[in-house]
Amino acid sequence: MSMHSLPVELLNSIAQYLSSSSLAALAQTCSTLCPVAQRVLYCNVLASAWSQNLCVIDTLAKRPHVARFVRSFYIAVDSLAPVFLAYYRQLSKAILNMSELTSLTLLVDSSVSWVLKEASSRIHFPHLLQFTCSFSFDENVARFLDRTPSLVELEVDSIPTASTRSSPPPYLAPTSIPQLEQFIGSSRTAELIVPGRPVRSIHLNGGGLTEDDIPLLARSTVPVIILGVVTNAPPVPFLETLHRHVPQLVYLRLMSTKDIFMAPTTEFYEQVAGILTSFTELNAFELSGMHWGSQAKKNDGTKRVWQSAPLQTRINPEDDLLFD
Amino acid sequence: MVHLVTSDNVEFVVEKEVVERSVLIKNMLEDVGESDQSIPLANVSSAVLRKVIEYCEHHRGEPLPSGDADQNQDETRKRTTDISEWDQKFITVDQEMLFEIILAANYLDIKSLLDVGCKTVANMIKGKTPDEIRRLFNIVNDFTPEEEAQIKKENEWAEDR
Repeated sequence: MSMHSLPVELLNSIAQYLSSSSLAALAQTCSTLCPVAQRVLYCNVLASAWSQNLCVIDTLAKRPHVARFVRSFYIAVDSLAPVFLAYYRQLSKAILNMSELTSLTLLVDSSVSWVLKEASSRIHFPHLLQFTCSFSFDENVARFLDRTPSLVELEVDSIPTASTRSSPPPYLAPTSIPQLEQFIGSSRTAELIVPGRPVRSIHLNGGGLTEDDIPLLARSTVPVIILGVVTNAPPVPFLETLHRHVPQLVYLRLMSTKDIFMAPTTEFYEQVAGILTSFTELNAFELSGMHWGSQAKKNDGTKRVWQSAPLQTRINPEDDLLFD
Repeated sequence: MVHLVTSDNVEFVVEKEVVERSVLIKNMLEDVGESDQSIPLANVSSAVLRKVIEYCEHHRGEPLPSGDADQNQDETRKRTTDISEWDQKFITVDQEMLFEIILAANYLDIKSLLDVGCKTVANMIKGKTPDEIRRLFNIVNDFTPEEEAQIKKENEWAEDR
C-alpha cells in the first residue's frame, strides 16, 4: 500500500489541503502526481504584483495543457508598477489557452482590451459565468462577449475613461450573453446590454443616470429586483420614475448628488416614505449612504412601513421618567 | 446490532448507532431493513475495520455532514488542516495503515474520517522538497532531468519567496 495505490480522486482530495508551494513541490516528484498537483494548483489563479506571481502568465501562455486546468483567473496589475507591452502579449496568449474558465477578472491597463482579441477570434468560453474587466465597453469586449454564451455576471466600463465618450458604442448581437443576470458598470453600457436580457441585478457606477434612462433598464426580460444607482437628479421625482418602470424592486440603493449639502426637511422624509410604500416588494432602501428604516411586513398582508421623519433621539417620552 | 464480515472473514458485531456513521452502511440498512444477516465488506480487512469502528465509536452521535455542503467545499482549496487532538492520536499509524484507512473511509463513505486521513497526508507533504516527499512516500522519480527542470520552471511562480 502506497500513495500511488490511491485512486486519483483521493489524491485530489489530499491535494486540496496543500498550499501553492507544496503543490509545486509535489508536482515535481513523479509523472503520476504531477497532473494531480497541477490540476489543483492551477484551478484558481490569482496573479498580482503584490503576490509577486505575475510570471504565472508565462506558463499559461506557453503550456496550453496546464492553462486548461484554470477555472478561475484573476489578475491585478498595479498602475504604479506598470508592466511591459510584451507582458500583455503573453496575457493574450494565456487567455487563448484558458478555454475552461468559469470566472475571469482582468484588472489591468484599461487601454489593452486587445488582449481579448485573439481568443475571441479563435475559441469559445462555454463555461464562463463571471467576467470582470477594467476596460470600457468597446469592440474587443463586445466580440469577447459573443463567445461567452453562459455568462451570468458582467462588470465592464466601471471606470470612466477618455475613450468611453469619444468612440461610438460597439454592436452586440441580441443573441450574445443570453443568460446575463447581473450587470455592474456605467449607465451608458447598461443601456446597451440590459434590454432584451434577463438582468435582475444592476449596479451603476459613476453619475449621469437621468430619469430618461430608466425605461431602458426596465427593458430587461425579467423584473429588475436589485438596483444601485448614482444620479444628480432630485431623489423624489427620480423615485417616482423608478416606481413607474421597475416597481418590483426588492433592494434599492440611490446616491443622489442633488442638494447634497442641505439637511433634508420633514416634508422630504414624508414624500420619500410615501413613494417607498408603493414599492410592494421593497425590503431595503438606502439613500446617499443613509439606511432607510422600516418595519417588516407582517404575514397579514399589511404593507411595509417606512421611516417618514428624521430619527428622534428620544422615541418614547416615557423614557424621561427613568431619569426623574 | 449489525453484523459485518471483513475481507479476511472476521465477523464484527457493532451497535447500529456506531456503524451508521458510514453512509454506505446506513443507506444499506435503510434499503434492506434490519436483519441478522451479516454485511460483507470485501474491500476492508479486519485490522482496518477495527480502527474504523474505534473512530466511529468515539464520534457516535455527532451530526453527519449534509451532502450539499461538501459538494461545494470540493470546489475550493481548503486552508485549514487542523485535526482535533483525539483524531490526531488515532491517526498516528504507519503509512500502510493510513492509506488503508483513507481507502476504507472512502469506500464506507465516512466523510469526517476521510478528511482526517487526507489532512494527515497533506501535513506530511507540507514544507518538504520534492526529494523529501519522494523519500517519505517511496516515490520513484520517473522524470528525466530535463522534464523535472521544465516542471520546476512552470510552477516557479507558486514557490514561497
